[in-house]
Amino acid sequence: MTLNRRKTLELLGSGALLSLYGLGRPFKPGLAATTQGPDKIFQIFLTGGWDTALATDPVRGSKTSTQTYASHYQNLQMSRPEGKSELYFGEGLLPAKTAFERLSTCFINGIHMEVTAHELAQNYMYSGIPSLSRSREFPAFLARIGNAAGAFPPFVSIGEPLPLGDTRTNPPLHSQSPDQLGQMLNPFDDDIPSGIIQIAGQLTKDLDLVFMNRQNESMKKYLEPWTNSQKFLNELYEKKYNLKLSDQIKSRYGVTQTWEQNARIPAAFLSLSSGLSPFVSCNIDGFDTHSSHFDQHIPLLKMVSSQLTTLVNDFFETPDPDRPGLKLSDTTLIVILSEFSRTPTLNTGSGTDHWQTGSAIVMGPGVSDNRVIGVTDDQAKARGWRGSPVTLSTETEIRPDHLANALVKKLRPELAQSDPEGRDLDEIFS
Amino acid sequence: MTKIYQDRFIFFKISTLSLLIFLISSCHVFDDKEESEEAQKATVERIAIKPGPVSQPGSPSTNIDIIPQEGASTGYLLTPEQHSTSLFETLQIKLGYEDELHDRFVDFITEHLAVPLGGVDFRTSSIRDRFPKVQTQLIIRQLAWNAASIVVWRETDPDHPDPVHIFEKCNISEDRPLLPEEQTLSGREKIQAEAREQRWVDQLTEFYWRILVRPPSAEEIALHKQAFLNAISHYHGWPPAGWNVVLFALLSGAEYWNL
Repeated sequence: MTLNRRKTLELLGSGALLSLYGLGRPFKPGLAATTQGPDKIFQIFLTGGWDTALATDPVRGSKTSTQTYASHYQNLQMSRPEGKSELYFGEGLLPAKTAFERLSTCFINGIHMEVTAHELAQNYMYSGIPSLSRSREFPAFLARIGNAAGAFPPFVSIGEPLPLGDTRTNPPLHSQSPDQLGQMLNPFDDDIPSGIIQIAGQLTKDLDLVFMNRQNESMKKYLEPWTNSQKFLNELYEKKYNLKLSDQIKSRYGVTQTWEQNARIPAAFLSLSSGLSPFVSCNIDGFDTHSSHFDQHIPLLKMVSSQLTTLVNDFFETPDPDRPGLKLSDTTLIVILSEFSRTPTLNTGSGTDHWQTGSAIVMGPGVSDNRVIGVTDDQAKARGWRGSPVTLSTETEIRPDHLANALVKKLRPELAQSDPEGRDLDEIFS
Repeated sequence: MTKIYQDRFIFFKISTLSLLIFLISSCHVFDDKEESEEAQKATVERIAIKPGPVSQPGSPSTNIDIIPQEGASTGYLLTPEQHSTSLFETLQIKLGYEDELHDRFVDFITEHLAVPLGGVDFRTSSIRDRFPKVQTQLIIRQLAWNAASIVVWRETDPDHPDPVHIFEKCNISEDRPLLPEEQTLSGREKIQAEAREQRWVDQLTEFYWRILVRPPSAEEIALHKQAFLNAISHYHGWPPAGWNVVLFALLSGAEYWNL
């Protein structure tokens, strides 16, 4: 640390203040960054826009007597977790009932989505920053958290890539399938003797040295990142992360083929449980049901819900790779997002279109259990801040940046940017 | 007496506190200029140097992305598109698959691995990253091993559906450098062994011209020989295994990837 006049004065002043405290009363230390709470995030993004009426915001109460919702909703089931009377959920989440019972769960409804174009809304939900640019210029909040945590890799993304923003920050380990991710970390075939791997690595290193020695000083300086970035490769290879979906895992999660979407959640689980990264994201596509809505949407959502229950059960069984004595259920937040929701009525193709509200689920340690934040009215429109059904306005809306900021604030308080009007979704966490 | 002491003590406390508050709040007056310069420098350093691992003890530190100073960068990283083209032009390899539904070839490198290789896809990223990260190295090595394996397999498998022979200077399954025990051979056997080695060197030179556009130096030939012989010793002396290692090193090296 370089000392200048400012720093010197600050240090002296702080020291003197502390000593003054000592004269009158016991010194009360400031709050240090806590490491007792969750330090991992497992994100599931449902791409296309999920139907919240089949999920966290089912049609009930006064909504059933309006003409707003398609009549088919009346025939669908809804339920609540045992002992959690506030958490009504719809038909699509029925398989997740046990998951909601086992982990502290909070629903966020009535998120107002200004723009319902897929990429813009996805970018907003991923990053918490609204932008009219379709290129993902702002990094996902998960990317920011992962980078700030200094984890390597900062995060793992399976399926759709996360927005990165400036690529000078550490890009994720991204792959479209678990097989591809496994190959990245273990490019050598299983039957290759480990001696070959070391010989190959050593030859590369030796040739690089010959090459470096031929360069001028300027080029050597340029090549420093190359050399530095190779230092940890052997360490990664030696850890031999096993990301292959075993038959047991495939059976538990109902995986048919490893290149299909139903392999992504278990693959992300392996990335987390193996210690590869504390921040993992996967996306499940197919929720943009502009036709045959119920026939497509319900089975897909049920598949995700079923896998969610398996995931939560696995969290309770799996030790945290970084924190001895704890399970992943003690250390990992599960966040389920989608870019927006669906229209309450059907179009001419029995499908649904984009709707300007959104919902999210946050589960895990420290989450306010049995809590629903935000609400939609009888016209299925987002209403109000903190559940108050007042007329929607910019002062009362809940936005994706509120949610993103709450999550960032929980894990990396130094990154959080408080809403200038003092609204944060702090109540997600107890 | 006690009361006087208490009054003076309180007075001392209040006045010292006031002085300190004044001193700290007046810092801004003195150091605006220094702070802006420092902030600028600190900003550059924050971008360049990342904190060490917090939640993964023992994992590699991420403070490795040291950005060279202004004006020091004289090269650039091979782009994913250039690598894809190079693999095809030099080794006749196209990593990808046919998308029959849309009747097009999906290039694995440019469409699936572009961003981790420092490229752009204008969705996840729109700025090329010239400074390789560890993730970049992982992909580079994955691609290098895949490409090397394809070349060797294609050359050695008699039933390969798409045979392409690029080993023009030697027989991949027979020619190799002299083993240590072969140094003491004599007569016809020695001539044959040396001829095999020469063909091996010629093939290595051919690969250097194809991939790096120059011949190998004596030092590099020696390094390749040693690694080749070490590699084939794990495969009962089967030469193609050595070529896998040689091609891997050429395709994952700094010289190939930095222009």
